[in-house]
Amino acid sequence: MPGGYAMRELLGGAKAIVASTKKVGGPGTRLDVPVTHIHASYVRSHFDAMEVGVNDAPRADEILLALVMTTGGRIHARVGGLKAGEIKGEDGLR
Amino acid sequence: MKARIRKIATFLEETQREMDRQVSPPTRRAAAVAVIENPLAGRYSEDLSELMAIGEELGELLTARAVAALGIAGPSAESYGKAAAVGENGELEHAAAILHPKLGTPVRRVLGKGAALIPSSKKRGGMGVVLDIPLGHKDAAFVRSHFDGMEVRLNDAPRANEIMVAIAVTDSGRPLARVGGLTKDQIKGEDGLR
Repeated sequence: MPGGYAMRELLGGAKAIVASTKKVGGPGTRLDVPVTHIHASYVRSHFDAMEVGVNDAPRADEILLALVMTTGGRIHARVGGLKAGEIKGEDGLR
Repeated sequence: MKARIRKIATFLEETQREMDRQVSPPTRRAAAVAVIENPLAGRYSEDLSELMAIGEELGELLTARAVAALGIAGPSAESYGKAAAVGENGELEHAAAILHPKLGTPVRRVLGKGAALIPSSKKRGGMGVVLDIPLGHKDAAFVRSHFDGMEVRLNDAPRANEIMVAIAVTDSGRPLARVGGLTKDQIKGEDGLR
C-alpha cells in the first residue's frame, strides 16, 4: 500500500512487507495490529501484535488508522526460527 | 490428540452487497477457532515443544474445518491467516509456540499450496476478547485485493488456563476491491511475495 512506502522511508529502507489488518466497526472497536520485523518477515521472535482502540472512534463517518512500531521482539522469545542476528536483508523475507 | 479441546467454533461470512452495490460473486471467508487447555498455564517452561505439537494438530484440524465451511476444495482457497489469544495465566510465547514452528505445514498441505507467509497476530486476554486474524493471499503476499482481516470472538473464551487458536481461509478478496497493486491473475507464485 502507498502508506507502507512512506513508513519504510522513515525507518531507513525497511525491506519487509508491512503486516496489516482491516475491519468495519463502530466506536470502541478493538483493532489487533499485526507486527513483524521490518527487515525480514520470517524473524520468528518478532511475530507479534498490539491491540489498540479508542472508546469514541471510529464514528460513522470516520476511519481509525493505526501504525505500530517496536524496539524489540516478544518477551522471552524461545520458539526458534530465523533470528534477528541472522537477517540477510535482501528479499524482505530472510 | 495432544490438544485438550473444550470447543470448536466455525464462522462463515458471505458479503452480498456493499455500499448498495452487488458483490458478484459474493466474497466469502471462514474462520475455525479451537479453545484448548494451556498445559503450561501458570508456570515458566523453557521447553515449549508440547505446544508446538498441538499447533501441528490444530493446523490440520482448523484448516479442514474452515475449508469445509466454505464448501470448497483446499486448493481453491485464496487467502489465509492465523491468530491466537492466550488466557490470563499463559504467556504470549505460548501463542508463538502454537502458531509458528509447526502449524503452517499442515495448513499448506490441506490447501495444496501456500508459498506466502501466513499472516498472524497474537495477544493475551480474558473471556470475550476480540481477535483479529490478518488475511493475505496464500501464494503471493503482495496481492493487494486480498489484504484483509477477520474478527472472531467467543463470549466464554479464553478462560485463564486456555488458549484460543484461530485459522481463517477465504475464497476471495475484499468486496469491491479497487486500490490497484498486484492482482491475483499476475501471481508468479515463486517467492511467496509476487
